[in-house]
Amino acid sequence: MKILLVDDSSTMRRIQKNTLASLGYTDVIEAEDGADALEKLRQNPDVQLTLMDWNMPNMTGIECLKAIKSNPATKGIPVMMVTSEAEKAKIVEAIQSGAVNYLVKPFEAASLKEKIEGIVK
Amino acid sequence: MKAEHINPFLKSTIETFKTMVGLAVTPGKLYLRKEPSNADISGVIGLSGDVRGAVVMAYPLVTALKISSKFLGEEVKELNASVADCIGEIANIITGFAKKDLQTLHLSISLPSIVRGTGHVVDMPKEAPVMCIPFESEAGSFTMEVSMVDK
Repeated sequence: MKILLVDDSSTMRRIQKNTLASLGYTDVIEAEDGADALEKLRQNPDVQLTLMDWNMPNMTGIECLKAIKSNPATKGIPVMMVTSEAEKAKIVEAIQSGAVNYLVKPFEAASLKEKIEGIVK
Repeated sequence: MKAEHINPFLKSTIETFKTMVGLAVTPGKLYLRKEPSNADISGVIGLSGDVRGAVVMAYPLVTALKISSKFLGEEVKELNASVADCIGEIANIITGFAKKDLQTLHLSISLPSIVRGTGHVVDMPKEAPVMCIPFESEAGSFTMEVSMVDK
């Protein structure tokens, strides 16, 4: 399964990529903000899941989510928010905007595994 | 700043280190800052909303390197951009998680800033006391400083 990992911190991308690899997900491509994510999705139509940070420069995660869901070419790609934004209002906004799930940092690898398996089963 | 506002930060720090870093951290006795903590690297998050203030996670170099090594899953031997990223992200996660339990304050949090430099100090708003929580762990000690001024 090809996963697009979107986070403005290269270190966080590295950490999450290591976590995904430990769970058996090794086909992972990266984007450094929402705008980059849209470009990566255009270049990689075989992406099956996007993991999206919220707070990023240029284009935030929620703006990117809305853009993905309003484009017929990408709206079918599941997007899970992975963020330290833990407020209920933000979670509701993301789900209403089309996020398939929401994972609040801090999280354990087991939680990430469970949510991914729930999405792709 | 009210004492009950400290508890979410305490809880969030323990939880963040446990789940994201795989490190058990033990809080010591809370105290009011008289002198700023001497640190080699600090993660700083600005707070705004019904209050203004900041959260500072202040680390000695050795602790920061050990924590970053655990977080990254590879040994880091010097203070570099990856360590700064780790320290910033940890501060970000701790504050974001604490915010969930402080919704009555309508807090907004800034992106993390990193201060580097041997023995540096981070000044806080002078109108309010700075609450300090020392933490101990197998990676070494560090201090959390929280200051909030009512608007």
